[in-house]
Amino acid sequence: MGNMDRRAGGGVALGRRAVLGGAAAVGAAGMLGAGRALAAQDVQLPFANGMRPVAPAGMFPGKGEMILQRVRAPLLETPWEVYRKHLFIPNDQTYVRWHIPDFPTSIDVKKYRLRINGDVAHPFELTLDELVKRFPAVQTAAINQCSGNSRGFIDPRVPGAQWGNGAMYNALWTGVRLRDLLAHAGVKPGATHVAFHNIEQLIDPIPPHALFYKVLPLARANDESTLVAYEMNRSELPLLNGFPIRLVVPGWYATYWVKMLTEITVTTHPGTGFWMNPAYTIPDTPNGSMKPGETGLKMVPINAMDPRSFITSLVSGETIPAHKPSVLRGFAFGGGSALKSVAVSADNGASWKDAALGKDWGAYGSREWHLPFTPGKPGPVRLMVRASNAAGAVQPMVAGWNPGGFMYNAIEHVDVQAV
Amino acid sequence: MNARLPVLVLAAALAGGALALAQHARASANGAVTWKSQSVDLPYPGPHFSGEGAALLNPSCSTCHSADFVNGQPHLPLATWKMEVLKMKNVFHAPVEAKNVDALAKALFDRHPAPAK
Ligand code: HEC
Repeated sequence: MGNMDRRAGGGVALGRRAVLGGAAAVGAAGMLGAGRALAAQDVQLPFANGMRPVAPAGMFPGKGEMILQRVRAPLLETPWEVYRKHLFIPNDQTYVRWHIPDFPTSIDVKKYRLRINGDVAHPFELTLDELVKRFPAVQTAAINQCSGNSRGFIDPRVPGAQWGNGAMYNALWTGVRLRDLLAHAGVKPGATHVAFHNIEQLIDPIPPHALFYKVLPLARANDESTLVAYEMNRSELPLLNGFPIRLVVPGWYATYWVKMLTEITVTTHPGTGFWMNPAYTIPDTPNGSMKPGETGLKMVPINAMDPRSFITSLVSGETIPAHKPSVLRGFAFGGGSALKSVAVSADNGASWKDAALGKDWGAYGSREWHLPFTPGKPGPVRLMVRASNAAGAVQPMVAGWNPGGFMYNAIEHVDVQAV
Repeated sequence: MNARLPVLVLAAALAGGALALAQHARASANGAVTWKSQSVDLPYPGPHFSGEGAALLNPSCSTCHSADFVNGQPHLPLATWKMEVLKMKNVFHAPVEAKNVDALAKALFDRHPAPAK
């Protein structure tokens, strides 16, 4: 594709036909009528075969305009414009990712139960009201990011959901600590893992081993940040994002954030299900990266996220005044540990300047950054942004590769013109 | 996971800041959460395959996901397409007859040509 360099904030380059966000977009969707209208617009994600329809607001329940990666089971991507406007992504524009089309479309909150069982002294179950009332509520900001976010940029390309950068969202989560639930049940000595099941079902002919469930090491489950959440940005979760409750594993990829959570089972086993192994595994190497075609590597379940950072104040193709100070802005997150620093380079990575960081919402949330910048002379400028985290991880110039296309986190850039 | 605890006690409300609250925010203070059942419609079934190879692809590849997903895949080596077809058959029990595996892989390969350099 000739338009690789049109990447907007490392994000989505909007095709000319795309109108995303703002009154124009609402008007267009309104004219089409909510519901079954076919998308009237396309968006060009900046990679080969990256043209996608835009799902108008209301085509999917609880969702505004989204980039339509797949109707069934829904794969909906957040348009880049949304990240330019919001640090906390509104609930109606958070990305959606389901594996199997037969998840429930009706939730009866009176009948809904959460069970805690397995290797525990006192198995118990809770209604939704009991979950809220019996355990202390906590709130935390955290990034939910698909393991395969940005897969479309991975080189060489691999099969899977061909996301741009829109399979992530920062949200404020309200819920109860998982460890409070586990302590209430009394974890038996010798337990090592916790399995999480939901009410997804299999459709014929998918066999039982492909039923979706995930497993966390007990220590990660007992980490004080891990929540069973019942609110996202202080509102109920959209059904497509896991209503009524979902697991929140701050710092780890979203594959563990089980939606429509119904069962928490303490075990002595890392799990045998397809979705723990071989799916969602990475090579046991730094950044989970390997050479294409390399064999014999030990594969382990994907886990903590890497740091990422983005420029939002500019998109490629825009102009900025030469010799005049302007302010560059964006957001960043540390991944598995707190964001440590964000630096910007205007000379292809030869030198870096630290940006100022905005409000700290907690180690696992997004943070705004800004940096005054004055282009020295008219002409093209490539602005790069690089984050590092408390554990010492720094974004690389070129993303690591693995066959799943997971953990993409290369340094992003925008190409602008100083005039 | 030894980063400083990010969890705020609910009482320490998140004053100010960039938090854009949804209009329908529930009152979660004091544990007063109201639960309302949800029932939604999805725009299923979504697109089926059309064009070259559709007669082969629709019966084998439409049960579990709409065709837009497969159509949006990148150019991949023929061997990778064959692995995908076999994965669908062996892992998910896609209705793929053994005699059609190669033809399916070839059809998918042909539908995803290399991008112009
Ligand atoms: C029996 C159900 C089923 C059928 C039939 C099926 N698939 Fe899949 N397919 C899945 C599931 C489940 C996934 C993984 C979940 C997801 O991506 O949402 C998947 C994922 C994929 C992916 C993404 C890469 C990957 O391996 O996860 C491709 C490409 C794909 N399928 C192609 C095909 C093709 C081509 C056919 C026909 C030969 C086919 N599928 C038939 C269930 C099926």
